Formats: sequence, C-alpha cells, structure tokens
Amino acid sequence: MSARWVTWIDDEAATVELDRTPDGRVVARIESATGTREVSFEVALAQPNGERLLRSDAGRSTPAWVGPDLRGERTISVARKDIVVRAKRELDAWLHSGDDGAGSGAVSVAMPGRVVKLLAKVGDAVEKGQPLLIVEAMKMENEVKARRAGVVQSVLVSEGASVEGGKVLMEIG
Amino acid sequence: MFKRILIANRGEIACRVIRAARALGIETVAVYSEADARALHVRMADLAFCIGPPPSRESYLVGARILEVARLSGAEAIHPGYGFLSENAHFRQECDAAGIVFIGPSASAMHLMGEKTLARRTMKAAGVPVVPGTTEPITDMAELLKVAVEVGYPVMLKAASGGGGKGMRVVHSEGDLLRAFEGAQREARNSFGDDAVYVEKAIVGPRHIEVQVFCDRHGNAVYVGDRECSVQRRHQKVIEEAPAPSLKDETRRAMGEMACRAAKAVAYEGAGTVECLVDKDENFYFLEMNTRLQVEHCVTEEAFGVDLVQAQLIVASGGVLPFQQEAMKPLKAAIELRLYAEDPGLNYQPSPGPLQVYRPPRGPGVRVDDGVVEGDIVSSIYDPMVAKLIVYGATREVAIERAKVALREYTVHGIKHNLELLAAVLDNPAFKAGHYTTALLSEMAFVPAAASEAERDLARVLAALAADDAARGAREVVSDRAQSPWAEDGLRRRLMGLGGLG
Repeated sequence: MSARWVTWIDDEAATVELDRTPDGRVVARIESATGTREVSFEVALAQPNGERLLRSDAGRSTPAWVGPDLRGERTISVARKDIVVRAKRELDAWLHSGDDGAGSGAVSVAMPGRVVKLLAKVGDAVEKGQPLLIVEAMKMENEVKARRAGVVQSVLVSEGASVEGGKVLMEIG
Repeated sequence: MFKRILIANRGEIACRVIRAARALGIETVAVYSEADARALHVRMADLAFCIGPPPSRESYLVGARILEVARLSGAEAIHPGYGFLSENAHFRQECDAAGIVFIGPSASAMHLMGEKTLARRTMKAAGVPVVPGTTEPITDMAELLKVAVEVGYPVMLKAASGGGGKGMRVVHSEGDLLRAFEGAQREARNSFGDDAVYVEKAIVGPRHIEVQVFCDRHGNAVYVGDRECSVQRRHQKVIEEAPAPSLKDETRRAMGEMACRAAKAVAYEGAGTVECLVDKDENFYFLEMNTRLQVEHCVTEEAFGVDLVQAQLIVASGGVLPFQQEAMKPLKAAIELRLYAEDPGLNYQPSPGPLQVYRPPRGPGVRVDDGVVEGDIVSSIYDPMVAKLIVYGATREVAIERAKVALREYTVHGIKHNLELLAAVLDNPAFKAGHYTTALLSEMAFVPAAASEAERDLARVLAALAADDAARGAREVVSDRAQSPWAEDGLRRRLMGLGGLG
C-alpha cells in the first residue's frame, strides 16, 4: 500500500512516499529541493510509549522515538537527536498552503510562569534575539527573546502576571 | 533508634531517605502535594499524607501542616532532605517545641550559617579564611557602587539568605551593576522572601571544592573527604566528583581541618558541607556552609564506602558517629551526573513535561538515584532535576569510561534533557585531565549535535508513518509478526542481504 505525505523540518519541505509491507518493512522515496532518495528499513520493535527500533538491511540497529501528535507536529528522535517534523497528507498540504504560523511575530513561552519584567513596549523596534521580557518558571528567571526583527505591535501581559504555556504575550509586526 | 520518621521532601531525595530508613528497620511517612499524589516517594513510603495544593509554599513549605502530620502519624523525627525546610531555623525550633526530632543541626547553627553575611563574620572570628568582600547586607545602589570599587571588579552579588545559585550575579563593570542588583534582589525576594544582597570579590578561574563534615553530640567531628563541584551552569552544579582530582594531599588535609573548625565554631551536629573556592595556587576560601545533606552526597558515599543518610539517622537519635577520621580514605573514584529537564541548546531553559520514555542504565559501578518512573510528569513548579547518575570505579579513568557507557544507555524522551551535554563534558580535555574550573561549561559552549541528512530523512519517514497510522486509526505500526525480529522470514532476508545465505 502506498501513501504520499508532505513533511517539514523547520521550513524545509520534502515529500515522502511510503510503501509498507505487512511484516513491518518500510520503503520510502523522499523528494525535496536537494534531490530524490530512497530509504528502507524494518521496524523491528514498536512500543506503545513511542519507542522504535529500526533495523537497516545490513542489520544495523538505530533507536528512535516517535512523540505524540501536537497540532500536526511531532518530535521524532533518531539516534538520540530530537527533530521536530510536521506531516500532512499531500492533498491537504496543497489545499491549506500558506496558512501555517511559521515565522509569525507571536511571542509566547512553552511553560507556565510569571512575568517579572517587561523589557520592550509597544512601538519599540526590536532585533532578532533581543530580550523582550523576563519570565520566571521553575524558580529560575528566563529571558524570552525575539524570534524575528520587527516592531512591537502589542503587549498582552503586565509585570507580575501569571501566564500559561503557549499563550501569546507580545506581538511583533 | 527511631521507629518511624517523616520525610518532608519529594523526588529522589525522599526515595533515598526511605531506603536508608528501611535498612535500619525504621518505618517511613511520606508527605505530598496534590501534584505528587502518584509520585514514587508516595508509593514507596509505609504511610502517606497529602499536605496541600501543588505550589511548594502551600504544601512542602508549610511547616505547621508537616508537624501536624508527624504528630498524627506518630513519627518521632523529621528528615528534611535538601531544599524546602532543610535550612529553616524557624522550622527546627517548631520541631523542638513539638518534641519531634529534626534530623539536622541546631537552629542556632542553621542561623549562624544560613544568613551568609553573619556566617562570614562568624568564620572570620573562628580564624577560617573567607573571600574578600562585605560582611553586611547592602541595601542601596550608592553603597553598592562604592563597595564594588573597594572590592574591585569583577564582583559577585549574592543573596544573603541564598543557596542553589539563586539571586547570584557576576558583574564585570559598573555599567552592569544596576540591572544585576535589581535582578539579584528580585530573585532573592522570590526564592527566599528576603531581598538582602551582599558583595564578594569574584575569584577568577576558581574551582568549587567542598568538604563533607559530620559531627555527633559526643564531640566527634570527621571530614569525609572533598568533592569537586566546578562543572556548573547558572551557578548550579551539574557534575560532581569525589575525591576532587588534582589536589595536593596537604591542601586536602588543610581544607578538611578547616571544615571541622568551621563546624565546631557553630556547635554543628549531623551532616554538613563546607563549600570553598580554590584558586589556581590552591589557596582556599570559605564560601558557605550548607547545613544539610547535599544533593551530591552520593559521590562521597561511593568513594568512601559510607552511608551518610544512615549516619544522619544514627546521629540524630543520639548515637555515636559510625566512622572515624583515620578510616576515611577514598577507596574509589566516584562521579555524579545530574539529569536535568532542561534544554542545553537554549540557555538551559527548563523543559517540564511527561517522561514518555524513561529507562535508567544498569551495569557495574552504576547507581541511579531517582524519584520518577516512566509515565511521570516533570512538573514546572518544582526543581528541574530528574535524577542523579552516580558511577564509580577503582580509578577516575574507569569511572569516566563507565559513565560514558551508562549515559549512552540512559534513555529519556518527552522532555528536553542534558544527557548529551553530560557526555560532551566527559570528552572534554580539561575534564579528562582533572584540571578544570567553574568556567568549564561556558567555555565549552556546548552545541547539541545536529542531525545528519540521513537521520533527518529517517525522521521524516517516521513522522509520515505515524501520520499514516493515525489516519488509518491503527494502534500499532507493525503487525504482530514483525514484533518478533527473529521470525524466520525476517532473519533469512537479513542474512541474504548481508550475503550470508544463498
């Protein structure tokens, strides 16, 4: 059985065409801007916790892990290196092209915490990497930095506020 | 000896104390916040009581509630672990008033050592060398500017009630002083409820070496060797070893004797640690005394063949210290590597989350002190340390090799962690040589290895496979048949691929 998926690592897209045999062997053709290649392996072990053991045709084992689906993204670990991959069915990818949030100016933190200091205000021009605010989480202060250059359009929190992970704190336009 | 004790802590240290108590035939009482209802320490203890909502200040820091549980459960003593109430002199007094033994030093010893400027004055009076700087807290900027010039840049700002690297800032010039002062005060206030800050001269290129001391109420004071703790990030320890490598025997002895002098100056009882800064000429300065069991006590245990937690229980119940100074010679080299839920590639930002996969290593010379099992959630409200891997061997070289094997075997997924950073330190030439300073980690400038093109391709295929499975509603990627890699067809095909079979 064959299926075609578009995958992204950061913004680099590649199409993956899968061929799976019932005994756990996978042959995949990958097409991207850098060319076309084929990989094949056997899924020798697949655990409910996401662990996989891949075995190449030459018998070499590679430990891997497939993380849970988080809004279309998964953390995939291959040989202990974490790689975040988005995957969409090829047809869906074409239908929804252009509406993903990559490179947006939304500033957020991954975990809940408390805003201890704001370092930028509406109208400030900021550089990529410039600290925007300090959030305390796990008893440590962390500087939240701008992921792109731009002008602060809005500040949606105040000093002392508790914030949830993923909530938009500032917007950079 | 006690019949039942309460452990006023969580995580790996609570589990560690439960094991030590059990070995002495003592029953254990766990306390837990609502967030920890299913935590390992709760499952291990003989009795367990919920003491409040998740935030520490509403649970693990509420001394009155913990004492109430102690009374209710018939516990005769409380082991505070490290952190939380372990260095809280007021809690110790409440224990005394309630007739419950606090396993640790007296309130006065805690007070004398706990407030750092007072400790500096006390140590100076006892003839213990301290780092040049102020012996009084500093409250305003003008005074700070003046003192910083007197002491000379670079200076170190520290929280007077501090510990664990919180409220600490190195300042290299006057221009950075205000922001650092505000930051240190804020962090000190939030962590310790006291924003007093003091100034020390920052020793350039120091090693952070500490001495384990142990005193009983019968006049015995013993130093159980030293620990090298210079591998730090954000002033928090990451790797510790015992004994400290590359230290002259006479320095070791002088530091040990100084540590006993410091402990005696405050009539210390139980396990304590005297932290020192050691410069390149092996001049050492008293930094502070931690009046509790340290996180890294395990390296001393493995190197010297002692059980410090059991000794704490013996000494607290009025017994005689179970080891003498003459016997305290290191038998092994031991290294502790702390597993943190944090992202070393992103300025060590904490990374709470579910431990989707958690499999600690095994093997000769390997000890893992942890308080989690697979499926547990590393919460954002507590410390990001997940576990301690302790490795030991006849020599430091053997211990390092064992550590490398163990790190490779340690499997953790679902959170960002520092296992690759730890492995990189073991390969660092300065670390291998045993000559390194607290600047090691920042100088290493660790960058996580990037995935190769082939690994990225595999990741894409695995993501596509997972999406494909989800789309089909399949629960498993492979059929039962493929679960057994040695199914006849699979083996035959692989051997054929290798050219082994015709």
